Amino acid sequence: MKYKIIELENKDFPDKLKRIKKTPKKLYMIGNTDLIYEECFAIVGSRRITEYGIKNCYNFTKEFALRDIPVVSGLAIGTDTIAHKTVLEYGGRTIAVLGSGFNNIYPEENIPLFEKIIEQNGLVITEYELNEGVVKKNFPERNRIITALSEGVLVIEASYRSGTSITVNKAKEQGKKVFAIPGRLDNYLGIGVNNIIKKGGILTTSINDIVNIFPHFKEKKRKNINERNYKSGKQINYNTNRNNKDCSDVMLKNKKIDNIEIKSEYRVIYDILKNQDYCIEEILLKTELDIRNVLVLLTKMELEGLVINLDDGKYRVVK
Amino acid sequence: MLSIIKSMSLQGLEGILIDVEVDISAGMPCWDIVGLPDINIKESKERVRTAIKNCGIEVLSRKYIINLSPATIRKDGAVLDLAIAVGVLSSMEIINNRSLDDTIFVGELSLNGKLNKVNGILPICIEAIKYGIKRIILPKENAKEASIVDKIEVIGIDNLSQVIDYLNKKIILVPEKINIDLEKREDKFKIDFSEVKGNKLVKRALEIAAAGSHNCLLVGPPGTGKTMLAQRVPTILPDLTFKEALEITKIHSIAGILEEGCFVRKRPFRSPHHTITEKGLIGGGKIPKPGEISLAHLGVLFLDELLEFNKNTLEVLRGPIEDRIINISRAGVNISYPCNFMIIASMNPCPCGYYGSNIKECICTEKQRLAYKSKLSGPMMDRFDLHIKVPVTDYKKLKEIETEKSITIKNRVNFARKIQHQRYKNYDIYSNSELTPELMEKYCVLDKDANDILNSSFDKLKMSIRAYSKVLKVSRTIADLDDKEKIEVPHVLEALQYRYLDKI
Repeated sequence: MKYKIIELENKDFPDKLKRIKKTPKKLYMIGNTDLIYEECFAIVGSRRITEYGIKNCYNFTKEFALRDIPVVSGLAIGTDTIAHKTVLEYGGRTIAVLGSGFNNIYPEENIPLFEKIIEQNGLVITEYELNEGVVKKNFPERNRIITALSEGVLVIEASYRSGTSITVNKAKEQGKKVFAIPGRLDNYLGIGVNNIIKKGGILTTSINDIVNIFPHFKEKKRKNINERNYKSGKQINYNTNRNNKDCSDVMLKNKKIDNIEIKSEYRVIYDILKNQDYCIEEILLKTELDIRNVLVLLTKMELEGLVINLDDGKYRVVK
Repeated sequence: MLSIIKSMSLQGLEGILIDVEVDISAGMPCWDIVGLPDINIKESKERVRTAIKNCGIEVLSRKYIINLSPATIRKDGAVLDLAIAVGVLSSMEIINNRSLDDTIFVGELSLNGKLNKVNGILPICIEAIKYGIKRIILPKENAKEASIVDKIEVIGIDNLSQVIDYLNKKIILVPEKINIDLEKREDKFKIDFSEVKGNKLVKRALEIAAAGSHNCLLVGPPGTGKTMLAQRVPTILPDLTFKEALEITKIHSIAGILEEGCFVRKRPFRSPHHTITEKGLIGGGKIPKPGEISLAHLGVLFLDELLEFNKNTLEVLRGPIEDRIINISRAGVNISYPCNFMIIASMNPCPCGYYGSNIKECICTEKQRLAYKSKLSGPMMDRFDLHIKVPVTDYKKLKEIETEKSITIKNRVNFARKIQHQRYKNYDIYSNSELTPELMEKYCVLDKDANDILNSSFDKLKMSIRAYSKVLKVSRTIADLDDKEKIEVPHVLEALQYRYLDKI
């Protein structure tokens, strides 16, 4: 594959990278190199990600893609993968910053994604020479490039003291704005992200919280699309801990149909599951229903597509 | 003079009638045992000679030839001691009873002439009847066990002098009799299901598993009570029928784990540690002894931390689970033991154990977790009829809840199992899990709605076709618990809930 090198001395070397501590000496790039001069936005988060995180990551990334704002991330599994893939799904452009050389793309399962990014007018960039291996310490280091390339950083989910918090510190050092989606209190991946908000991260609940702060983002027009064409999650294989089914449901949930008619026999269970996912045991604790009844009803609801069974054994309402 | 005394040796569950021929003649004084004896039989000449001497009988210096016929079969164990001693004493004309053709002698001798108990007495008695044997003379300690078989006269003996007196009709010994009362059970367990709060789903699944003898896999993070629940399964297992009890007692007798000559009244529950070897599991040895799977015959084999077992060890289970019999071939011997067991296994969802738990962070990578899961091969996974996710439950919430006692669950299980026994009495099976495709067609009749649901569910829930027969068998058991002749919609719908690994 053809790659391009820009050295620090070169006049093409992007200014925004010169301004940071430890400026990379060289940049190796494959793809649409113009992207490094554009105003981009970074989306970062844990490699392990909950359904809640997947849903948010998907929704926010989509908005960036539709506004044609290039999304920067790290090609890792979890959040990064979802961000890249969602951008590609909506026809946007994305930059992946690697922590290793082009001959050692990590993780291997994302090589197809790597190729897809380049194919779709995106850019893959690294400061490491071609044969640099996969070295643990390089990954936190590359985070400074992710933040340097971006106007701001959006944190999806993070556990306490994770790689994501390193990224956040780098962003602050570089004077970049840090946005964070409030995390769930009952999950460890919510703890880190809420801490980030406590320490001055901008609490973000919608895309407007971000674009309104940056005038040049605000100017950009949102592309109107027919959402129906995008509803199948099967088109996106997120390559995370979750299987396709969970992802498709995320998208189904976006198209939540109001005033759906629920059969009276499902009502009790539906109402319990409406706001939170529960496993059978918890449902039993909350109802007077007999276990056999609950099992039968849940299967019925699952067959009718009202609920799905998640891989941690919990049930979730999808309609 | 020559004397021929009968005894019996076991190869697996099969008995081989052995003629112990003893001849005493003039010549170089020696004791020779011929006829393919194993090392512990060769040693028996020393025990026999000393035991006879210690009974106050002078052993003359002659040429003693002892032949074990048929000479082509390798014989094992100390069971032949008594027969050899009686043979020698007959040849010495100290025992003058010549009508011993329908009597077998079994037992091991001590140097002081005392008879020690041996293993495998029950199968020996059962097999002996097939050879037309009418009387068995054996160590007193084994008499109770032998007397379970009622078509044979069981004479329990303390020591060698008593045998001599008895055979010379100087004393009369009353044959041992036992009254097996299966109703009088010792069902006293120290544990009970009511001690485990909550976990209703797992309990229901275990109830179904016990009722239909289905293999069952529990998946869940540590500390969710998987092991605790599995250990309580024996308290709800269905009662044994006499036929079943006899089968189990036979195997336990060979393995020598029978308690004090007792008849097995409880279904076995075997929980081998995960360091067990293949041979420990399926049975092994020069003349193979039953392994854990045979010891669990008609009971439960509990494999805690399933994925910690050596992969090859697990794979050897594949055949026996389907065939319900294990054939072990070693140099010179082919032995088969029955192994109709139900597996209850538990496993964590990932190496660290916390995947899917909100309480603690899972530190495994995707790759690690997939590698962990792949330790359980597809064919092995197919052998589990039920798989259940054991959730992390909030202990505090559960404290107040009323929980069912084991005996209540057991009554339901017993009821369902009786239906199955009745239904399959003309076939050689005991429970729904053993149904062959042919029998399934005959007995797993779905009503129309149920059939439609089952067919459509496979597309919708993305289940494999392999799961089909499993769901059907489990539905059958649920219908039996419900006392329904036909499988109805709710039964199928419930059975579909127990396919956790199919769904993920």
